[in-house]
Amino acid sequence: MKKTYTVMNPTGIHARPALKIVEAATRHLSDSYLVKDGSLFFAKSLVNMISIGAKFGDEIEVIAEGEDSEAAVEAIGAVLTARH
Amino acid sequence: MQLKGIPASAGVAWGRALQIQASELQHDTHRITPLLVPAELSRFDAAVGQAGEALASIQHSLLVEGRIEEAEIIEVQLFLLKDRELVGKARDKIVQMQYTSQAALEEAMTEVLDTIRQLDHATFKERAMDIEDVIHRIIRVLRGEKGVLEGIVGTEGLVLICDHLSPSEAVLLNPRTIVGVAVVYGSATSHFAIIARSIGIPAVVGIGMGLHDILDGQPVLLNGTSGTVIVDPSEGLLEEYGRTETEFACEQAVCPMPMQAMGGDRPLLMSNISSLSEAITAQSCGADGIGLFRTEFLFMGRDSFPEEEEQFETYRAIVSSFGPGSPIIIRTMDVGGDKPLALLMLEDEDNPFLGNRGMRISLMRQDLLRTQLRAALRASAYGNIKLLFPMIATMGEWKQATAIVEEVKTELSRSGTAFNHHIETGIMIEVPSAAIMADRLAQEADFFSIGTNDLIQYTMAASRNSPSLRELHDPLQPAVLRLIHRVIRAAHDRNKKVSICGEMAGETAAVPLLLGMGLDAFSVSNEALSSVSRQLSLQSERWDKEYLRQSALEVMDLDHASDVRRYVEHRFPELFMQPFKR
Repeated sequence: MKKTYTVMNPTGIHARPALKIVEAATRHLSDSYLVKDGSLFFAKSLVNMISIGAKFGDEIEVIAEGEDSEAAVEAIGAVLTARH
Repeated sequence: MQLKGIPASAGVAWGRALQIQASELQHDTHRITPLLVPAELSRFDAAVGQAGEALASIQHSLLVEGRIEEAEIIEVQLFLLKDRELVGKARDKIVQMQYTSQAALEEAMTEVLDTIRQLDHATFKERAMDIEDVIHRIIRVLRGEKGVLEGIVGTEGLVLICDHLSPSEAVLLNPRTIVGVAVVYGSATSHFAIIARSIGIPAVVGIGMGLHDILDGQPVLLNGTSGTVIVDPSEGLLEEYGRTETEFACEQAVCPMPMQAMGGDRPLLMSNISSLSEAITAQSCGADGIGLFRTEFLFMGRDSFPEEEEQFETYRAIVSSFGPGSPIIIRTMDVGGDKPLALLMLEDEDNPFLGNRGMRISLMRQDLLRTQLRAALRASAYGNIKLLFPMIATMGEWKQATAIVEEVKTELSRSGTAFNHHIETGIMIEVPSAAIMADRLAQEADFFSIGTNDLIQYTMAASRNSPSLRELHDPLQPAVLRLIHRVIRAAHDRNKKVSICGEMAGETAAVPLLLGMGLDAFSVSNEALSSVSRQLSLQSERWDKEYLRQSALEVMDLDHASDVRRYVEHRFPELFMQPFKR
């Protein structure tokens, strides 16, 4: 399961939204990953989410594998496309 | 011995020096025999657990005190503690490489920081700080060391001296134990400075390595308002500062200024502020208005940009804290340079002071500018708000800015929203190109405000954060005085007013010269209000306008800053006999 989202938060994915992604990912059994510019980042790791440095307008691909992969991708997508 | 740094948090502190080595740990590269791995793992897990408990209890007490933003900083650290890529990796290294816990943590941290640095250099420092902070906390537990601040319970009246303080250390500062903080590195807008101001501990940053010459226990007088640290101060000096302290306290309450008695034809004395509470203090101290509201502080230290409604409420509250006629000058967001804003995620630059900052950013991010202008215009229905644009370098930028103001005004009119249709818009003169074009710009703008801190550093090509360049970064440099004189004349030729909002406005030797040039308004920090007020009234009492004007003119023929200083001391000896603070 994969889907591409555009970062809509005008301030990008900074510490706080990074934490929200981790929270969304860890609520699900599936392991999920974010892909930016060809690099893979593990969504259950705050260090990874802080490292990604996504800015407003960046395209991010979310990948998940497992039973609840669709729900996991949707939950992470919601954070990426949230405006705050 | 006197040291000079950057004022970071206002107030005067007097106490005994205590040097601390903040977050500096000895590196460990030891390995262990495979037999010891299980024991090392349980030592590691216990240390991580203990670090987590400590962070949770800090977070709890911050929440109880309602310090939400600071609690969020700690929450991020709590999550990092559980992170597979950081703490998990370190644990793996104990098994795979037979590292000691500390060596494993250090290597895992270095790997992570290297990756972050490569991915995005601009926001590296801010991203790195939380990670370093949390790893150092675990290592201190392992080594049985207390946090540098936790170790100094039970003592009072200490002036802390350190290289830098991390956010989780800074939130713990107890103003009873630590009366002041002097820091080797840092800027006035660092996380530390913001936290020090919110706790109310006087602090000076960016002092340099000279700080390490101070011995533990030496008496230290720290002035967070002027940015000085004096070691072994004389009794006379302490007495004088005793008075300063009383004045400072008095300014916090209500302090009538001698200025008020001067009446009619006098320059205005206004305040530079960063928040509503400072506006209220300024008003109770008797300021004529706000000469500079640094709105960027509304944008800093948060996760999202403030919405129009929030900005509007702040601007309206500030304008309402003064009488209806008092000028309130709102400067649009001025970030960049020494005030990076992580929220903007700007590219890293070789030379941020000559890079993307102030109006340049606002014109690029017009969404932010428009929100800010809408909020400020709406608040203008409640009082005498004026708009000020920072870092204008060209006529084109000014035209662009005012065109946007007109567009926003049209929008507001269409929706029937109230605002002051004749709101004044002004230019912050801080780039030499704007000073050189002042005669043209004066035809366009309603007023000028000279930002001397930047104007001096750009004119002299000398950073104000470089202690060794202090002689160049001097407001009495003849080139600086000539430029300012020229700007004031250009404005007055067009019947426009000029104010000064840099530190120069509070500089004893500069004040008579600025008066002589016909400056219309001085804008200074709240702490400097009463001393500048005293100087202004004294000078107008003692010297007539012609004498002041003549002095300003004669200075234009001098070649050296030292000559200017000597000239002022000779022409205005009384100024230097008074017990002025600065």
